[in-house]
Amino acid sequence: MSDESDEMEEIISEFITEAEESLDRIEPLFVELEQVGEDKEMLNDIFRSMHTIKGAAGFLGYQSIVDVAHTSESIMKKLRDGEISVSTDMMDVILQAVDMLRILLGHLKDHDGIEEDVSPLVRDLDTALVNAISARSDITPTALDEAPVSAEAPDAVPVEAPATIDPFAAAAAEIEAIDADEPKGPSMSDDALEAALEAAQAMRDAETSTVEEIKHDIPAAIKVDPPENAQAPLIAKATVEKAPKPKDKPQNLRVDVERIDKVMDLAGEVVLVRNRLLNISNYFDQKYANDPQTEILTETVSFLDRVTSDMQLAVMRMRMQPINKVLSKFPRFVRDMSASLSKDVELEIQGEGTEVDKTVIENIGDPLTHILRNSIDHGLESTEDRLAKGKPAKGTVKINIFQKGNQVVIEISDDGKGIDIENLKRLAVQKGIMTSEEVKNLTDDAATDIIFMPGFSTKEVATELSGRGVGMDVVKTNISSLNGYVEITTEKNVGSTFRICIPLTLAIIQALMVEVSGLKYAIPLSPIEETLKVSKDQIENITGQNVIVIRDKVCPLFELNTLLGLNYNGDKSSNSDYKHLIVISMGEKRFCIAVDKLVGQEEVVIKQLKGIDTTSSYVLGATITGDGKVVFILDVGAMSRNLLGSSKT
Amino acid sequence: MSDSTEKTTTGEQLLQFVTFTLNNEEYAVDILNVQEINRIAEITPAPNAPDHVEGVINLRGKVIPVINLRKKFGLEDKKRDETSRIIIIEIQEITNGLIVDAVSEVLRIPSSLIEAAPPMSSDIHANYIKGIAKLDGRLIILLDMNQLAGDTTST
Amino acid sequence: MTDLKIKILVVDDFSTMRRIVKNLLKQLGYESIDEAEDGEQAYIKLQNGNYGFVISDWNMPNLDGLSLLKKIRSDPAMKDLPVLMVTAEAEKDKVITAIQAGVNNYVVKPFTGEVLKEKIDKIFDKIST
Repeated sequence: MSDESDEMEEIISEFITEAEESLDRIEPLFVELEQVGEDKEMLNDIFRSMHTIKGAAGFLGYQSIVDVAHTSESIMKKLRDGEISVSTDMMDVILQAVDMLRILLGHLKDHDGIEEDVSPLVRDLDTALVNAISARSDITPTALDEAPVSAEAPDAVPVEAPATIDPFAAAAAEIEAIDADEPKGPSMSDDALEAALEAAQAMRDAETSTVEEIKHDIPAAIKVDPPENAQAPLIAKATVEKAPKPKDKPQNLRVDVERIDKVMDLAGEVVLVRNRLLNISNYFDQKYANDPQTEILTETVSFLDRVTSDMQLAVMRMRMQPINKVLSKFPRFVRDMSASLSKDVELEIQGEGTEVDKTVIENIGDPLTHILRNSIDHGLESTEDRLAKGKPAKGTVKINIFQKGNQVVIEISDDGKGIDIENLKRLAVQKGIMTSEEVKNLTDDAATDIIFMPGFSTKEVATELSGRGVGMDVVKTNISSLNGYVEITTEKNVGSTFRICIPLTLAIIQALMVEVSGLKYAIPLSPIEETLKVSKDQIENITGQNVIVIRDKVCPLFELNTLLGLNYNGDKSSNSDYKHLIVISMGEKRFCIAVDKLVGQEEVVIKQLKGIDTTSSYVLGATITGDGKVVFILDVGAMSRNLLGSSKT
Repeated sequence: MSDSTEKTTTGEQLLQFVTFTLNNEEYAVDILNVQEINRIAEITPAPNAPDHVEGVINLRGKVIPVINLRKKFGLEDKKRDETSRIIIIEIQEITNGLIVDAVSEVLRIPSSLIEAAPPMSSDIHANYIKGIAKLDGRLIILLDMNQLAGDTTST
Repeated sequence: MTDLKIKILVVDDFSTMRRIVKNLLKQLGYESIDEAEDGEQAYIKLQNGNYGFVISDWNMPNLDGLSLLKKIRSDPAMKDLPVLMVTAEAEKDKVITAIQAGVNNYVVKPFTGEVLKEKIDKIFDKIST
């Protein structure tokens, strides 16, 4: 019994996923339809998705979903068959239906048992259909009100001479009859179809059953388009043989994420073992260089090394998905926003096929939406302003995604007014985020970062769309949690670009191993700009803050052991006259971390720390080194946020 | 799979505990929470961690936090020696190590011998104590692992 | 009684639907059930496999159910293969086209295991007589 309910659970969760995927896929099509006009392929695609969702929901007994999908499907069908035409109103209401379906699926997913009243929406859909039909056929809407869905000729087979008492004709005649007086959709009686089925069966049984012969026997009352290849079987066979065999499509397998993550974990383990073996084989290589067995060991280990790297990549790839999954909702989003703000906006997306880690897909949606909203609401000028500046009336927002090294870069640029830096500074002071002294010392680059400060929103009057209490600071936090960073470049009246950089994978990173107070730490390599060795007297102190001048630029300097709260007696590092500095650059922010020793670069597998609160510890995880020791991986993003939060650079 | 509860001949419930000592007092944790008991391995100190979080260890490829129970209970810290052990416990899907002075034995305690914790016994915060067992003149403090677990994550 | 060992091909582009139908078939005791996600894939599978029965959806990308049916009927190797067409209530008017193209029976979504059994039994009763 429990097996069955498990199976049911699985089917339901598969239904939710699959239905959501279908909606994700068709949603951008609506916006495209509005732009390119009626594309039969697209219309058919949407129709089919609605139809399928309806079908499966019917089996599972989700009546609300069936109702919404059914009404939408009827509209899509008429659109596809060219019986009505695409209009903005029509798209609006269908998009509402898509939204409703999402809400209904959401309830299923959350098991919250909340019921939605879909009847107003279904009514709206019906009305939209009626309006569309009346627009086409010049029938007064009042007359149609009584027969909303099928006041049209059915796409059933036309009947020519219903005089015979043959079952096909009877069935067909019935369709006609039903359509004439029953408003709600053509519904053929089962009896009539049964009879037709019987008849066809009987004919087939009577004759030597080939399609061709049945066709001849089908009463002339019903006209059927002959299937092109229903000639003599021989010819049919020839065509089949001639037809090029369709290439096998790539086979997809739905796999539980947990299973992939397990493989990922195991691959991580193998990497660690590989690292240990490399250590051991190096040791033997040095100690027993002349032993032929050593050579075999070295060879074997280096083979393992290569295989492990390949395996790592392959596993990583299993978790990668095209970022399109996140982007597909944006055309719709931009469309809605541009309508509500009365700004004409064109969205261009490039590189939507770029693949990123699943975790990135899951977490990048909100920050991107936020930036996009900001660009349209605050970045782009009103149409009048644009025209006054001699810009095209239509504003453009571009999203460009590409891979750069082992990072994914997402750029969101607008051709709007750019960020008014003086205004930013003024507001920062006005809101008490910074003092007027602090503001004065800000470089323009550092000033743009004010946007990301908690409690800051550039528009004095919060608009319905942008001012939801969540600031751009959340964007920054979300991106930092992915080990990424965000930066802004802006130019007055030309526009602004938000650039997000995120590592390709979150599980394995390149790190620089350093040592301080006798303990090893790993620093992710990507934000490291350079490393320097300086003598102690090069370090200056300005108002209590250690700084170092690197190529005429003052850079704040922090001791790693202080940052990590390592209060070892008789600091070992003080014996040395030199310090190793690691220059970190996060977006526009730069700072140095002073350590005792640089150990070297290593590929490390990030292990989650469960049971330790890492929110304020400057640690993002740990790794296990070749010798089996645990080494903490430092969170330089958090350092940058905490130490340079007030942008004193 | 062994169950930590079984019946005595009189039908009374027997509970199984792992007992250990801390500052010459006897403590016990439910055997179901105990994964294993290890000698003290190399502990990597955790940056900016609360005082009682000694650091982390590598438990067969997993990085798990280790808590110094003496510090946690506000007792005086003691240098680790031959008898010191790390008890690996799993509570609410989080694995933790507990440093204790020594591990004594696995004890079966009839439920009738367990009493509710008296208010404010010894120096330990009463929150962590589930009860007290009196057995052959010994006083054994039974720890509430769920309390302890909730604590390590949010300090 | 239908042979529970026959190899059945379930054709639908929506994997949840395939699963539902498969589940119903399993409950009826059928053991050998395969899937195809559209008519094209189904036709390839049918050419290579020894299938005894096809349950196909109507609306599918690439090759829809009706076209699949026509292809089956015009292929001498499988022209007698029983086909059950799954259709929606609103599309029952189209069933007549399928009947002309030689479908063995049709079933309207959503259906229960009993309805499915009834339809299958009907098909095989007719074939065996």
